[in-house]
Amino acid sequence: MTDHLSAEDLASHLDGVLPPGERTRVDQHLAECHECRAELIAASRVLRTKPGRRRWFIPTTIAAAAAAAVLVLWRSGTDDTFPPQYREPAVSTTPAPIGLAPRGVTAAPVRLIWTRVPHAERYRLTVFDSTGAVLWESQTTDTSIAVPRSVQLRPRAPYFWQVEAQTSWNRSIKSDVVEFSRP
Amino acid sequence: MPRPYELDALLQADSPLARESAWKAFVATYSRLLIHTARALDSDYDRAMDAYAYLLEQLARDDFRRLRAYTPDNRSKFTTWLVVVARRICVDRLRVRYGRTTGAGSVRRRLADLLTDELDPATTPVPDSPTTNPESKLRTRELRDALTAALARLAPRDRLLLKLRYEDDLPAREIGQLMHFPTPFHVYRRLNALLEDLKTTLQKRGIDGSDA
Repeated sequence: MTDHLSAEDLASHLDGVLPPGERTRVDQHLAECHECRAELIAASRVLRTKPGRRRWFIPTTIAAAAAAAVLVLWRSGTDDTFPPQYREPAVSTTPAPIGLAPRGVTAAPVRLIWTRVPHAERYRLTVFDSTGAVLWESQTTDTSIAVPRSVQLRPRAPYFWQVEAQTSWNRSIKSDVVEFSRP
Repeated sequence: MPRPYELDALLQADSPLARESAWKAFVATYSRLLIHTARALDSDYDRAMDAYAYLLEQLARDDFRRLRAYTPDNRSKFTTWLVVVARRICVDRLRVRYGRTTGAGSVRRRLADLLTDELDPATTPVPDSPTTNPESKLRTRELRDALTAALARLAPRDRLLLKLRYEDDLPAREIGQLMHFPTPFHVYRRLNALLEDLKTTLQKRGIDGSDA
């Protein structure tokens, strides 16, 4: 395969805005072309973890230097006009719990482990099957809990779990859904 | 999506001074994203900053030729397009320096093999296994050929889904995000349905994994 997808096609696919006909063409190419698929996956990961839109002091100075080096015809007589930022903005939100284990293939017995959330009063655990049906639910004040053997988990079938930290009355924050399976 | 203000100001600037000022504003707005893109390819801080400087150089080159290529067409966001373009520039730079990587393909398992497993993991012979007898090898080849034919008849979106799952080994959550499924469960539902369909197709063609 010699012709690869254009930046426009990839960007539109990532944003989910391709018209149906073009989407079929792009999907078809992606299904056949490992390079474009790898590019799509990598760009998606960059976008998913991209920082917020905020001005930085250090990059601005580097940018000014780069601009001076590259665009030699441009007169460079002004100082950097962007004020320095010496610290990050205050964190005012509660961090979500992170599911630590199990992730991926895990041997029995299954023990769910997650990160502590400051001021969490209790944690609610839910295990789902691949259709989203709830297989098991429980609550604890600890940061780990064993899934009872009575919960039937088939070998090699995908399962998911999620922890929800209750930080005060009627307030809670959920982890991402974590996938696991039995060998 | 309309062209963002910073890009518009940069491309419309009609004097060197205005251009310099607009370029600074553009870089101030997108530097975090560009650094993030460069660092995604090389976690070493110094090398990533080198890549970032190169990236700026390339974006500014030939009167912002690359940036001028962005056409606001009510489709993708500018930041998405910029990440794709910036990443390509960084990858090209790495390729010039270190050549193309060739190892990625060797660790990838073949979709057909995995689907063979999925169809009947307990009884289907493992392809290329030294313990497999000639008859099993023949059946495996027939199964793989039939699978290849069945896969070719799938809709492109379904084929892409299977490739992302079984060839690229992506988790359902990431596939869901890439292919715009609402949840990972939807990914699994579709995968399960596809595998069932493939199984039925193979059985109709007289290939039954459970008998193999």
